[in-house]
This record gives sequence, C-alpha cells and structure tokens, in this order.
Amino acid sequence: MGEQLVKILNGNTFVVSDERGDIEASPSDPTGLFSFDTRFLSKWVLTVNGDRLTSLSTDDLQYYESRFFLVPGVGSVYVNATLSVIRRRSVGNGFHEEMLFLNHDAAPVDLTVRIEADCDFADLFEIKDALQKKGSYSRQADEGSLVLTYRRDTYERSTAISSSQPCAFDDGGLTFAVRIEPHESWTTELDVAIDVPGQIAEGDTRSIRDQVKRPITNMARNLARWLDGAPRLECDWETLSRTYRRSLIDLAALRFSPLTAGGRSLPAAGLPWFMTMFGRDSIFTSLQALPFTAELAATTLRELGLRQGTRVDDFRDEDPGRILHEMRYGEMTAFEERPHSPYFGAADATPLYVVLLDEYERWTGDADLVRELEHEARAALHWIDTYADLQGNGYIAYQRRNVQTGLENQCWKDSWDSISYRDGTLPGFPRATCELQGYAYDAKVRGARLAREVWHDPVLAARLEKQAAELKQRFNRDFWVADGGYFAIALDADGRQVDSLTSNNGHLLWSGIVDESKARAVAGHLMGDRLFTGWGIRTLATGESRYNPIGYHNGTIWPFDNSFIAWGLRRYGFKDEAAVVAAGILEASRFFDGRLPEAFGGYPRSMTKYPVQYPTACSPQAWSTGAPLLLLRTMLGLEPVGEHLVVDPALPYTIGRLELLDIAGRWGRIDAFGRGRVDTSRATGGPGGPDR
Amino acid sequence: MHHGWVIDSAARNPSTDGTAATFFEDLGRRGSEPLLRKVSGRIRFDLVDGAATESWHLTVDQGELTVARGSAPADCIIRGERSVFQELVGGRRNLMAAVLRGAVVCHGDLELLLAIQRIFPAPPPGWDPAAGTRSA
Repeated sequence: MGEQLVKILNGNTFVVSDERGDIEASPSDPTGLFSFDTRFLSKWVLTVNGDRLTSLSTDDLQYYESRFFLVPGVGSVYVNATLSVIRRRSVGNGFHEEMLFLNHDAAPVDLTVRIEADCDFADLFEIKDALQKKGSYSRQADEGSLVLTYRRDTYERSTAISSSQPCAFDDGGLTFAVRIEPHESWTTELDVAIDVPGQIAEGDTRSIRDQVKRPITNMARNLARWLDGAPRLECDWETLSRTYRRSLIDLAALRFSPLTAGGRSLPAAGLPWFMTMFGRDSIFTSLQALPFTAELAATTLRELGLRQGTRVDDFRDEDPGRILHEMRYGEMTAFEERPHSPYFGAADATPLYVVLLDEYERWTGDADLVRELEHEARAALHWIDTYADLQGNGYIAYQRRNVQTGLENQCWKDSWDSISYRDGTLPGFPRATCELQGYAYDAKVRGARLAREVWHDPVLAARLEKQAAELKQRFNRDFWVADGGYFAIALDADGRQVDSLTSNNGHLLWSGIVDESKARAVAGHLMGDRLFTGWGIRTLATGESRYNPIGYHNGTIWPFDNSFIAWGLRRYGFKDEAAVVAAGILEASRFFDGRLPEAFGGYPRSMTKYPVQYPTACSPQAWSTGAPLLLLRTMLGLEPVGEHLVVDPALPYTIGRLELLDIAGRWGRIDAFGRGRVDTSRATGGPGGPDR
Repeated sequence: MHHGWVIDSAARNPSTDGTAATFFEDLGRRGSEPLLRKVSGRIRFDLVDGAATESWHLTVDQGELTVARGSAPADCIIRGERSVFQELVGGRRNLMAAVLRGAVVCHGDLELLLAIQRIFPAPPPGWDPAAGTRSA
C-alpha cells in the first residue's frame, strides 16, 4: 500500500484510499468508503491484465474530489509505459469514479480491466477496537450491478456498484474486456451507491435514504459561496494568507448537516474518526469561527439544544440539562452496545453551551435565538449547580457512571493519564479540573447578561452574578498553588490540589475567573520556558514527572488550546504575549501547508527547527482548523461592544500590513486594519521573518 | 449525589403496569409536559402486532397533551412492533437507537421525533442495555 493516504469527503461520507486510488482495508484500519460511521466499501482494487498499477501523482482537486494518475505495473517499468490510466473520484453520498485509459502506442491494445470489490460493513467503533461482526452477508451480481448487503435483525446496510460501460459482474467484482485503438482512449464511469434500507426516518424534505442517495449537486458553487461569504484577508505575510484560505476551505469540508437542521451545518470534529456532532468540538470551533461565519454557531446551538439531556441514564452518562458529548449512527450504537445515541460524558460542553450562546448574540445581535433557547440555557445553568456538583462543594466534577464504555476523563484532555500530580501519580475520581470551573464562572456571568437583557429576569441575573462572584473567590483560594504561583489542574476527590503546571491556566484567563492580582504570574508561567517552546504553549510543563514532548496531553502543543490561551492573554491585557503565541502557531502552520495538525511536539524550537507533527489519525481537525481564525481575531483585538466592533490590533512585527475586510455582525460589515509592531522574535526570528 | 433535585417530568413516571396502553393513557391524564413546552404538533404511534395495528394519537400544543386512540393524520408517525414499544415505555430501550436499528420507522417531522423521545421514561438505575451481549 502507498505511504500517503488520500482522503476526500462530503459531510459524514468520506473515502480514504491509497495513492493509487485503491482500497484494501484490514479490519483495524480506517480506509474505505464510510458514511454514518459505517464502512460501505472495504475493498476496491484496480488491475489491468492482472497487474496492479503504480501512482505517478495524485491531485486533490477539491476536498470532495481527487484524481489519480497511474501506469500499469509496479517498480520502474512505467518508464516505458505505453498505457496510462486516470481515475477521477468524487464523493457525494457513496462515490462516483471516472476511469480513463489512454493507449500511447502505435498498435491497438487488448486489456482485461478488473475491479475487485468487497465490504465488511464495519462500524467505526469495530475498526477502532478490532471487533467481530454479528450479522450475515450476502451478495448479488446480475447484468447491471453488484449489490453487497449486511443484515442483523432489523438492521440492514447495502452497497450497489454499477458501471456506464458493459461489464461482467461476479460476486467478487467487475471485469471489462477492452480494446483500444492506437492513440485512442476508453472510459467508463462507476457508481458506488450506499443504502440504509432498514432505517427509515423521513423528514418532510429529506430522509436518510434520500440523503445517502443524494447526488453531488453544486458542491463547487457551494464552496465558492462559502468563501465569498467570509471576510477577505489582505496581508503581506504569505503564511497567514495561505493558512487563512486553507482554514476556510477545511472548515467548509468539515461541515455536517444533521437531518433535523434543514440543510444548515455545524462543524464536525475531524476526519476520519470524528465526522459527527461533538458537543465540545462543535462549540469550540463555532466560537473560533464566529467572526468569520456565525451560521455554524447558530446551528450548533439549535442542534445541541434539541438533543439536550432530559433523563438520568447511567449508560449514556446523561442528566437533565446536560449537553451531549458525541453522536454516532453505526451498528454498535444502534444495538446499544455503545452509548452514543447520543453519549453525554463531557463535563465542559454544558457550560460552554451558555458561553457560545452569549458570544453568538454579542456578535450577531440575534436575540431571537437567545429567546428560542432560553429553556435550554436555563437547564444547562441548572445542571452546573446540581448534577455536575458531584461532591456538593460548588465545583463541577466528573466521574463516569458507564464504567464499561464511558469516558474516564470528561474534559478536553481526555486521555487516561492527562491529569496528574507533579510526581506523576494519577488522582482518583471524581475529578474537578480547573478549566471546568472557569467555564462555569463564564457561563454564569454571561447567563446573567442574557437573563437581564433578553429574558428580562433580573432575579436570575442577580443570583447568577452572586454565584459567579462567590465561585471566583473560592476558586482563587482552593486551586491556587501558592508555592508555584499558578492554578492546579484539578482538585482530587479529597479536595487536594493536583498540582502540576499545565496549559489549562490559559483557559482560566479566557474564562475570566482569575483574580487580577494573579494574572501576571499566570501569564509569566504560560510564556516561560517550561511551557512556551517558541512554537506554542505545551499542554504540560517541563519538569513535571509525566512531561513528554510527544505525550498526547502531556507535553505536546495543541493549536486549538493555544488559540484560546491567546484569547485569554488578551482578555487580561497581555496583548504582546498573545501576539507572540499567535505568531508561533501561525509560523508552525507554514510547515503543514497551512493545515495545522491536532497537536505537534513540545520540543524547544531551538532544538528541532521545525514543528514535529504528533502522529494522530485525524486531519483536518475542526478546532485546529479554527485556531488560525481565533488567532486572527485575537491579534486584531476584535471585540463586540454594544452595537459596535472594537478593533485594537497588536500584530507581530513580521506583518507589515494586515486588512480583514467585511467582518459581519450586528454592526453590518466593518473592515479592520493593523500594522505589525510587537516584537515576536521568540516565535518568528527578526522582522522580515523567514518566509518573506 | 443529586441534592434531591427532581424534574417534574414524564421521565420519572414509567407506566404503572408496564404496558404501552397504560403509558399513553397516563400521558393523556397528565395534561402537560414541561419538556415539550416549546413543542407543537401531532404524533402518532403505530404499534404493530401481527396483522393488527394499535394507534395512539398525541397532540402537543406548547406542552399541553391530548391523547386519543385511532389513526388520525399526524405530522410525525412512529411505527414499530408492540414488543419494541413495551421496551420503550419500560425505559429498557432507547428510541433513537431503535430508529438507527430499523426497529422503529419514522415518517414526517424529525424534530418532533427528537422532541417526543423525551416522554419515554429513564432506564432503571444502573441499567446496561448491552450487558451480556457486548463483545468488548
């Protein structure tokens, strides 16, 4: 198999193949055609006269289509090849593939063209955990098509393969007998159509069955309109211009439209594992993207609100008022072998829901949505004080009730060893991580504003403000690590500080829960050598026992994390520090062609010279895609104040001139301008940085 | 653990004798449902039992409930085996999972489907639907 995987997608349907366009999935590997968390094609291998092909090049035309330039044979034989093959594939629901064969010879050629096709109908969860299927397979080949079907009880999924040119279908694929005259060509078009016959949920305008059969209509025009609708960036820093454009396109690709959304979209979390609705990821990405496209936030708020928890359900870690963590559509969810219908095991999504609702209104002035979602927001605020307060001490804490398949860590640092004391030991449960308290504080402050200004409930507003003030006071006492001068990452079950130094401190600045008197010390840690590498701020500081520059949440740098930290620094007046963080992360994007990875290594910049990508499966990832957008907002100091947008730029001196034009909001459209002046040499070298 | 905060909701009141019929009758007697206070529409539940179909028609008007027997037109029709509904009203099965599985089919307004699933009771404490069948 080729080294590079080629991925194209449309909503939650995507194809992952090798660089020849072939799919040869093993049970544990995420290649194939996927839709609704199910693999609809696990084998798709092209041969010519029995030989596999070799890739000359691959062209990612758009996020939903790619082209493969191939010659028959393997190794170096292609130097003398007289035949070339071009496959052009686009994903809609299922995919469409055009195969073009060119005979460059002076003699005619007879070819046996064969596609081997098969499907395991694996649930993504089964692929992740290498599990066995429980249902039965059937296949039916006739004159016009090959249909592969999987059934288990009332659950049924199928894939139908057809061709525009005559061919012979058998159980294992399709075969063409082709003769091509000298300097002539031959072409055929293949359709791989997916179906969910057992699953009928029909809306007035759309059904799941219609959706999976929907042809690709106007995807190019849709993308062009999306790009046109976003603010225009004019900038003499080429890295930023390229990364900005890449982010907008990737964000378009990551749009996901639930059947209830009437065609509107919210951001899915990432390709390939996370092409679905996530509370946390959808909210964070919507926050990052607000100045550029507010529609994602509105859809996120509506769809998460519609699915807000109403019961106590231990299997799903559901409580009344809780905002979901993750929604899935595959077989294991359908049979309740996994709790994702939806699963609620996130402790941050609920307060963040209120934060997004307020921030959305501040940008757009759309008070109607705030009124529409009043009950949801109140239920979310209520959850913070009741179901989330596991220890009755006024702090949000988490402990999963589904001990089989629920999540241990229900915060963004969700790997098993992400929360540790300085000496590396792990605390027990429940755990009250610090950023959750920050989000709760922010939710109360913002909820109070909404209560006073939109819901006309001054009693609730006053209560929330009082609670917020008390929470802030308690938090600054209980979480402050006095001998370190920073906030502990968590309180353990005994109320003891989990005392390691982490990037979570930056989220606390963002939320506003930090006492003014402590902010300088916190900012000093974030920008100090133990956390800041020159590229960005590590998740865990050097010197902590579990620190590892390539530890998932224990030393790597997360662009999303840094974008919120920069926003937090700005909030407390540390404009120059925010610009340094922004400059470092944006500089790093240059090494990834403008597409920031989920995380990269926490090595000191002076050691590696370039950012070392963490070997993660997901790219693009929504909140990494959103990071440059939030950094841009932060550097320009864009802040809605009443009916106006305040612009207060603090730009790295590597930028001569920056203009962001047509920023939409309650003010109509506004342009922002800035000139670089902040010394960011720690992150960029001298003025006139490396790529200018 | 939850400080005694109890929501005033259908989710707390599984039907007394566990049958779907009792569940819908109780729903009609309750009159209003706070979880549906923003919801208006007509939902019909078709319970299929061999050749026979028992239909329950639920009208929601800003949370006010009216329940009737019979197959009057509706904005959202939810159809499945009676045995599936028995599990749903007992909190032993999840409606959204049942839709994915094909055990229940839904026609019409899908937002109503998502809203109406709130009326089904919570599972018993500690209920694990996959106990015994989970493969991992």
